[in-house]
Amino acid sequence: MRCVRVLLAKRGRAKYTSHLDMQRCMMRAVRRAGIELWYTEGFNPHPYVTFALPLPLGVESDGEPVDIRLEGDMTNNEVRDRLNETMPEGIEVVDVVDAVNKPGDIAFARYHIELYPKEGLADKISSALESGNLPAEKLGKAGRKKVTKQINVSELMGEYTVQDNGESVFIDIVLAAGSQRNASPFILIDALSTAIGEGIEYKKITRKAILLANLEKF
Amino acid sequence: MLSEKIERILPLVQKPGRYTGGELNSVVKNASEVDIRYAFCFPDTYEVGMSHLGIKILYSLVNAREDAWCERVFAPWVDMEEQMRKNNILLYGLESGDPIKDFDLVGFTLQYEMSYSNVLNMLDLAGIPLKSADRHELTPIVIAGGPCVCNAEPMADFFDIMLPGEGEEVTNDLIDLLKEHKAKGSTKQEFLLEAAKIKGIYVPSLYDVEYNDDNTVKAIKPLGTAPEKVEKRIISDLDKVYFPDTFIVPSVEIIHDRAVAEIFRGCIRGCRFCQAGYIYRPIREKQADTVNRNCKSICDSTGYDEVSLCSLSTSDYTNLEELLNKLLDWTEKDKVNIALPSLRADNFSKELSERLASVRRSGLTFAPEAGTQRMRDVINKNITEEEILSAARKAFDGGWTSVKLYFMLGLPTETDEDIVAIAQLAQKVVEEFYHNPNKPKGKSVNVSISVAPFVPKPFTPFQWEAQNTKEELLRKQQLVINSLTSRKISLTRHNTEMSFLEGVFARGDRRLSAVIETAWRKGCKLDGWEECFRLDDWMQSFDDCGISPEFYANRERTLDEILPWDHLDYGVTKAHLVREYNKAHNNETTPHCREKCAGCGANKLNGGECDALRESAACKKRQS
Repeated sequence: MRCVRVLLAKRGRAKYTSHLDMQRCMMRAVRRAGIELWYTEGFNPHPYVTFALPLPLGVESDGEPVDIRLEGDMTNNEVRDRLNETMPEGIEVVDVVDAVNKPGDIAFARYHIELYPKEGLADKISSALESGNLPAEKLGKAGRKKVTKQINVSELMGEYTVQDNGESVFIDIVLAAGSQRNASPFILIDALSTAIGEGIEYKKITRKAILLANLEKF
Repeated sequence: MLSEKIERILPLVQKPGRYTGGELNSVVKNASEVDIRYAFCFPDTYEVGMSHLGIKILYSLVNAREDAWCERVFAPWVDMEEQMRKNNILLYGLESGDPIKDFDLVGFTLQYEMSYSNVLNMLDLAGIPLKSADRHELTPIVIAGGPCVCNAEPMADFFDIMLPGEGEEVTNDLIDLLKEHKAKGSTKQEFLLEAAKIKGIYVPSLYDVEYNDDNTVKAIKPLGTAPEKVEKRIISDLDKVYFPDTFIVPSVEIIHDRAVAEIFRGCIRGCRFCQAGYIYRPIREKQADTVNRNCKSICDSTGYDEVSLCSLSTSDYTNLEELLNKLLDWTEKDKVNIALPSLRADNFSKELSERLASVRRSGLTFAPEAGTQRMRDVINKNITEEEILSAARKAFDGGWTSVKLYFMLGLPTETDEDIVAIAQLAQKVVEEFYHNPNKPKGKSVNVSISVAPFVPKPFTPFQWEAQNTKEELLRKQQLVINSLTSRKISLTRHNTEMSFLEGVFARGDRRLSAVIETAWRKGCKLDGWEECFRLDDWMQSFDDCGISPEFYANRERTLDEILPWDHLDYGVTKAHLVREYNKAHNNETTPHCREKCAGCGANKLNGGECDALRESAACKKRQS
């Protein structure tokens, strides 16, 4: 048995496939590709296919890491090629690598956000990001109960740029990611809308990369 | 491809993957290179519709033709509908994103009566006039198929054509004919008159229905060259019938998310309440090799890890052992689970239970249908209490700890004693678990019983019976609850108001078209969903149209009454249904078809051939 990390790009209509549906999609692709999976040895044997960091519904990605455990000695390139022959529209294996870092080491993710343009929008967003105070409401859990938590998105973000080319406004930004501290691009857009006092509609959001605490690629 | 208009609303709705298309194995063609564009509509949500085997077969069948392109259309959920209406988005085909009002054929499958209002809602969302009479151009031709078509008279105003029976051959015939008439530039009426000459095509507008003063049907008269009786179409040889090599693999989880292969059509049992058991006759089997090939090809091309064998009463398949052996040859290695959703308790063997458990075990369900032997004899279930308990014993012995039992309430001649016996039977099943010496340590048993109100259906021996009123059914449900004696038994009840409406449509006539349209205008849709079902609006609509729903649901008919579906011929003769009706009222059973042919008449559809007839003859020879 060996563990490999598959990097999946998710583009176009495929972005509407949810996290749980992506797991099913991956499982079926592996079966179609004739890749021999390792199965757990319990009462109800199941394969090991794990997405390192859930991707919010509606967000595209340049490379989502999925760890799978294989039997046999198929090379990483063969795994990649076989999968690419059978993937549904919009999902592509960009690379297959040996899994070095653990999913728990994930600390940040970089996003590219494209917005419908509005007069002065880029400036307003820039100063809101500058302010250091971007309150937002987040659904969380306290024990079993669902509660709304107040968070400050400014504390959950890193470097960013804002640009306007006339047709779109672009935000490139690093946000906290992982099981401890996490901010989704949607929370950021909500917080920005509240801060500037007007609705912001996005065209497309792409997760460009998943990063470790030292900002190196996961 | 999705337009920007659609893309902008998708982030605003639940499960947007239902509205995008682009799934693996979906078929995209060049619209300019085909002659016929066909919108296959399932009048319910994506998750329900995508689970249906018929749509998978007909989708692939039409797309196998070079000259036609079939696309899928489902009913949008409430949130999506709201966004579509707000943004002027017309209902579109999932493959192309094009509005279906520009297609040539718009076909609906009518699987259950509660989906009728969705048909109207979908036509309206598509921008297609609801009534056949208001659509003057040749295309789109709006058609319907599926089991409800055996009496879809309540929907007669809305459809141009209905297809009673099996769709594989007649769909191709219809496409050929439409292509020819489109090229000729025929009028819609010219086309419909020609279509009505094809066996298995029913054109409702070519029949005139007269009524008596007491509201019963006086006469159903064909107009012009339309046939007196429309005979349903069947496929004679199931080993040669088209079956897809692959399924679309949905990107959003659907209800039955697995490979499915059909093993036979029809049923030998003759349970008197069961419409499927009568309207799919005569019984025709597929060979084990064909089914095995179908299963393997679908699993390989989809990556599904479960395959389900589809039929009525699966354990009646004569090649079941051969098939399971062939399947297990590769399913064990490929870690594919086999599911048999329809098993009878009287031939559920220990061996079968072990086989099924060999990969992974799912739940076990049996359908005694009634609590007492007398009641089971009336409905011709032909199963004894000992057989039910013995099946439960085998299941528990095989390691199962939960069993589901299906029952019906409100059957003809039912007494309170029969109802109390439902709870008693469930209790006996619980006791079987504790009597089992091999029962797993530290595990408890769960017997879940489901009681569904009985709804009399056309083409069954109970088609003349009165359905219990809502109030009576509620009282009977309460009686079941009061009779339960153990916390190991859990009970599921069915909405009696829904069953009432289902009963009205099941045996309704075409005067109900007005009621359906009125109710839809009041906002009725997705009636099969508890959260959307509103009986008050329906009752108001009946009132507005001056029609009594009780006349259809709760009235006992005389055996000589002309029924709204008498001009359709599903093979089984009325004389046979009358014989079965009389036997039911004398608590008499009828043996299954392989034991003794009951002369139902359905074999005439297959040139006198019937698998069961051949087998029962062979069986007698062996015995003598």
